[in-house]
Amino acid sequence: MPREKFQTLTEQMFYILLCFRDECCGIDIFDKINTMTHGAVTVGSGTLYNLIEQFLDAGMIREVRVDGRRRSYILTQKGEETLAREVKRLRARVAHYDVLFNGEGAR
Amino acid sequence: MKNTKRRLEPITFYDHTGIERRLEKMLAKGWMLERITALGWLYRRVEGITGRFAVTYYHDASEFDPAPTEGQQQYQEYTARTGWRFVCASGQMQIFFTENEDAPPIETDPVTQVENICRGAKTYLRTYFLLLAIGILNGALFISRPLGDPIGVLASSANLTSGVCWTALLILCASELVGYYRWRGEARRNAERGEFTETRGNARLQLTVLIVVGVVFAYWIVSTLFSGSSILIYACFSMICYMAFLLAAVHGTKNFLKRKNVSRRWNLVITLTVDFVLAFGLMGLIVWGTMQLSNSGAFDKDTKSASIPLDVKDLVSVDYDGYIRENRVSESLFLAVRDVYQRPQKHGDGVPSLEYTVTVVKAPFLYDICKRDRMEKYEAGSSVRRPRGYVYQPIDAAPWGADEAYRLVREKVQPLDIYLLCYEECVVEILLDWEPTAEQMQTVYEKLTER
Repeated sequence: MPREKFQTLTEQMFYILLCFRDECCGIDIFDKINTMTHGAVTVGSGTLYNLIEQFLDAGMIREVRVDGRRRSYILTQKGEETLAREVKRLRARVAHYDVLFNGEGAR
Repeated sequence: MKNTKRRLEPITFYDHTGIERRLEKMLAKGWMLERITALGWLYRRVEGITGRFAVTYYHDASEFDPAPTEGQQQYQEYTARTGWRFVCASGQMQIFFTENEDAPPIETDPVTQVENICRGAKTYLRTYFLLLAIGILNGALFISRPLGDPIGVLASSANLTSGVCWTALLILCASELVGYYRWRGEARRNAERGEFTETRGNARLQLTVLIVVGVVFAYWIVSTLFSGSSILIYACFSMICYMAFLLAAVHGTKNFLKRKNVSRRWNLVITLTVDFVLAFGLMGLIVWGTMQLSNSGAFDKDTKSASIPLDVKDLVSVDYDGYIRENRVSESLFLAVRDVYQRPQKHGDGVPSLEYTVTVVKAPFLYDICKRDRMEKYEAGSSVRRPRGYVYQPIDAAPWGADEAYRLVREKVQPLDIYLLCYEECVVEILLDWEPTAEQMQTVYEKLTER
């Protein structure tokens, strides 16, 4: 069954949202993610463009500046909540791992 | 040496994988895509270029945009930033190219990619569903008509051509839609697991259908030209001009308005209006022209003064020159039907008349259908022109030189001089004003079975 939109985030959704914690121009996201992940995560241009559009539609980011075709966005409350929920989910995963491999469950 | 090449590329609208591979294949042969036009894909000769193509879908693009929208330009800026050059677009489909081996793919997230293709596919899907509905409607008519009038449909190359075209449209639309929804389901499931799903086109099916339609269409034109019927040639020529002019006018209007920077909405409204007005206006003009030509007697040679294979005067001695002869021929690969009426100009001139239909069966499997159709029309009493309650009863076929012969009879009533004669390759139905002699039957046989 397909996931409900943005209930969980793919790796690229996560990093793009993360980049918008501070006001950021869409096109600068490529460099920002590259720097942040030391090249471990690459976002395709189509993926980035479409996700920005979808995040805007979902109210997870908002446009703060338009300079010609350069548009800057920033995370909204809803976007922050989505990120927080995703982090919680990831932490739960890590916790489950820790229980099995580093904690009481470890053999 | 030609530096450009135009190709008709049968594509499946969502098959980005197939289109990318095809473009890369063409590039390997030294041809780079330049643009997509209504008359095919235009390639330019290039040397020493290697690279990758990427086909994506931009949902807000339109064929009616005078220039790329701001969003599209921004999209292209994004792709340029990652090393992809915009090549061309057709509707929502956007084609990019890169020579940079390290350029990351345009789509790196399968979930987003699937949703993006689905959004871009909406316009295509609307068109395909509309065409499917038209195809089903016309396909159903094409299938149901032979049930009521098998000879009328199978003997007409125009009917067969349109039937094949509508069936082809139905098959194409159905296969595209089924293929798309199957791919979408699989792609969404795979995307959940972080996997991309390649698209599968049906270029082979499209090419096959295109060839079949082309051959059938050519057959229709050739058979019409050789039919010798001026009204059929006129109709065929009019329809070809009608379609060509309509397509040219619609594309011309759209492109002219794009050059004039008219907005997408107004371009769409004006082009559709022009399309609508021309479609009905031109059809009205053709009908009016046909009526004018018919009234002026331009088509009389098809019917009134046509030479007929069997004339009343071949059977009886008549001193009368005022006969009206009507001779209608329809022919296809399967059947050829000739309807002949020979009547005096004025009712009550006291001269005999003659009426017959010769159905030449070119496809042997249709013989029984043709024979049964002729016989059942009387048994069911469905014929308007002929009396009710009569049935064909076997008579001696030898004098007619036929394999089987039947006469129309009714209980307690004098039989009619209407005969059904079954020859090896044709079925003849003949209506006489008198009871024929053996000699006249022989003449009918000789004259009507001449090929």
